[in-house]
Amino acid sequence: MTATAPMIGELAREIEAVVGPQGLISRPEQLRVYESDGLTVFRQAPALVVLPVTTEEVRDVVRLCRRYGVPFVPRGSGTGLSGGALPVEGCVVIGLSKMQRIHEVDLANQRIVVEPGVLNLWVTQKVAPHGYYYAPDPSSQQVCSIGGNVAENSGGAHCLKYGFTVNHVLGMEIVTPDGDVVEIGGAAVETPGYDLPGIFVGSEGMLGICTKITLRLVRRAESIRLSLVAFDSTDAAGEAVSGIIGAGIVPSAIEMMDNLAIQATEAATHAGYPLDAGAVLLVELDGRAVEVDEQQGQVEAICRAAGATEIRIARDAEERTLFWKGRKAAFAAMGRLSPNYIVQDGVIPRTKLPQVLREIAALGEQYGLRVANVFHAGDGNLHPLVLYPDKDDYERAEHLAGDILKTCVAHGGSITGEHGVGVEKQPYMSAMFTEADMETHQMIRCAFNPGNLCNPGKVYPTPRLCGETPGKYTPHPLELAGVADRF
Amino acid sequence: MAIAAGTLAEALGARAVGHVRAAGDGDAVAGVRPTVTVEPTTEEEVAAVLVFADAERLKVLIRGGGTQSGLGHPPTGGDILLSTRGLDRLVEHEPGDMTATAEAGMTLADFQAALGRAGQWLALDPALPSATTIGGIVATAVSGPRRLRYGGVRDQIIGVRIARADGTLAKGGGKVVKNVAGFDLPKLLTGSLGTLGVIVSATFRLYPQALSSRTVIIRGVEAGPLCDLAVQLNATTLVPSAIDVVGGAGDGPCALAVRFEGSRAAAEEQTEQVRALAAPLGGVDNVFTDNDEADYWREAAGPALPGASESTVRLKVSLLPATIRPWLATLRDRAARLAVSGAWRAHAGHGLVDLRLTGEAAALRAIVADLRAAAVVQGGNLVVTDAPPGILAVVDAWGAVPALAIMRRVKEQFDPHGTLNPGRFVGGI
Repeated sequence: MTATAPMIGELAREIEAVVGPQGLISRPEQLRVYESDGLTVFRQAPALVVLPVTTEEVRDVVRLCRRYGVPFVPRGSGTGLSGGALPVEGCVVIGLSKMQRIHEVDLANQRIVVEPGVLNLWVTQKVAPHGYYYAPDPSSQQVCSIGGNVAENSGGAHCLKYGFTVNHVLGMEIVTPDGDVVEIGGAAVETPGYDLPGIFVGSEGMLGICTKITLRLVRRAESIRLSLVAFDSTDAAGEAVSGIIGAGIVPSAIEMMDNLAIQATEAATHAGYPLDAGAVLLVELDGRAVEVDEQQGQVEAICRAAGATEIRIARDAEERTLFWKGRKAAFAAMGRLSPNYIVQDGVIPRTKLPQVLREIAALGEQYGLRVANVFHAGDGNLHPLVLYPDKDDYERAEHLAGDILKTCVAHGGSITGEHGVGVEKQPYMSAMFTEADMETHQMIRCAFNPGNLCNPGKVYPTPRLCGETPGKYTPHPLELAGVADRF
Repeated sequence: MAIAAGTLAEALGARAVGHVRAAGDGDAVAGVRPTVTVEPTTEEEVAAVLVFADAERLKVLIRGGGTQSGLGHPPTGGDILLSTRGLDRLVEHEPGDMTATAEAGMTLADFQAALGRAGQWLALDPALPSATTIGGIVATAVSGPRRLRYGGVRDQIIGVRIARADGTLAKGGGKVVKNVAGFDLPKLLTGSLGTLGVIVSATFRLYPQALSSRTVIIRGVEAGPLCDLAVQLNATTLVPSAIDVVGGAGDGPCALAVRFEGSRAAAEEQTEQVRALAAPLGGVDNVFTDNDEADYWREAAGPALPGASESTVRLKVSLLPATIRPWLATLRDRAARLAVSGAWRAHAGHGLVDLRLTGEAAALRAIVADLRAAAVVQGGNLVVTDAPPGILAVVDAWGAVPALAIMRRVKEQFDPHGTLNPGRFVGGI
């Protein structure tokens, strides 16, 4: 059922009573800002956007949506790359970007409590003077929010050693899709009962809205060493990666970029990447200085044996930031090669890397489109960038991207390592999971969100019916007043 | 409802003959004795048992190595004991990808032995590895001292395959380390105590075995200063695998054990740093390596099997690391007043405290309540991991649990008839 205009008008008035006029957006030209997230090929303007500032406001807005039977879509900074925050027709977008308080910093226990609109990088900035940082570091960390990180289980370059968002969230306050405020998990390392934070993180906004998050902080290592290593080919670079991992070294990051990606990022950032290299690796080691020194020697030897043509070690924190800037700006830099591109996020078992890269190259040739590769080589998370200079080639590019994902799954991998399924990868879920698998997963959604008003139409291609209806049907006030009908 | 072994065997068909028998005394779980025991050897057979139980509305108890059968409430029923020990195969180990899949009934020791041949291990070190099974580890989320460095079960599991209560086989996650496709079923199953499905196999990320390891032990110092030292160590750039403080329930000297893994030079250098930081406390220090070190940690991890004594309880307390010291003060105070004796091991880096207490039943009930209150007020919690029935009848093994209403709805979705391990989990789930 799509909400009718008078119904939305009435809902808007009730929402405004909760959040005030400054917290409600209803003018069409302003609503357009919210019609997509970072995946801009899908667009749908919402009926309303609400920007609450307190948990109580979120709760009251959710309750109103529920009472009106209007779907609602949570949204953080809108940097998601899979359409997880794409509005559905007639929905209310609940934007959390005004909830930006840091409630508590507890360094003795290495915890911090933040609101969902706090940006990822702010957490590290808050505790950096004390020698701590927040480990998950998606490339968009200057703009993406913790709430969005929770929804997507965001990773980043350093999750190879330190894990993903889910490994750093201990507890949360959430507003359930029924409009209840509930604590899940806690401040301690374990909380009795099902691991609700474990399933809420990465649930892509379908299980409710988190309004307060307790995060783990990590002590900055004594020594950090970042090397930029050039190779003639991705095969040679891949061999070095296998050698490093095989030597029992767990670097804090190993990133790879192929020549096309190097060209783009160097033009954009001037980070000093060698333009003639077939591939570069960024290898970062951290830990005790003694051990980092030893491992650095091993890494250099392994890279040379694999055919490294150049090894440059960042001299100081400043140069380290510059090297990383080249990598983290890679997606945005693609605009220099092609105005339009699709970013993919497939994962493969690391040992399949050379073979899969060859298959991706062959697919690119077959479709007549260029594919740049940027990836987290240590954990096999690929980010092929499918370039399509002409907008009319979108469908072709999308088919190519889909074939790349199917290749990843065929090699025992996954369709997404950190960007989420959203709406974009829905068609590929069945390549990974059987109907029974997906039905089972959706039991979780049914437990939290049986009415399916909270971010409907995401991740699973076919929504599961949840058996019994949630609560008794009560006629809407507008129905009673004869203003609206239920269809 | 009593069922005959023959009925189940008949339902399972010819392949399963020999996997079904009448249950004996040894098959009781927390005093509940089922009528039939079945030990399937394939996931299809597990599914067939559950289809049968679902149709007949029978209750199914699930057991791996039985090392955690004292955890939680006694079950509220149990017709069939489903042992996972027939599912004991290594499904897959890809050394280059540092991932491996094992069936639920494989013991941790067997799994580690197989992984060790490639210089790798599953970075979990719970007690009793030769009895503990992979399925049991996932279902109970047990961990050990080295959780500090490597994380718990939830941080290492990347895929799971289950048989649902209605017999449907389903999987979540996958076999790559990084994967966000679909809800995180592996995490939901971790610590679910068999109440959502029978785990038939699980996939984990692995770690390389450390090049070397050494443990520095400081003895002869009171608990308070050792806890403070542990908090201080947490704030340094040292990279310990474990920081354990151990002691008895009463007054008296305690010990601190700090383990370092990695290159020999790094382990040595860090050990010396700890000795220097501990020097002002005036204790006696020793450094253990090789077999001595292995022996120390094996003994440290080795509490008795459940159901050992009528006058003993075992507890797992989750605390914020900096609150361990005041909590131990409460323990010392109550233990003296209630004439309770015991021993504890505080994993002071991550905050879990394992505790064994002995005393009169009334005193144990009182001290558990006080210790729980002292944990909760500081943001922690207390779980009874083993206790005699007299105590469990009046003490909630899990304590108050937030979000219980959602947990009940999860259970209703996965197991609407309450077939699996009924009553053992939080809130009687």
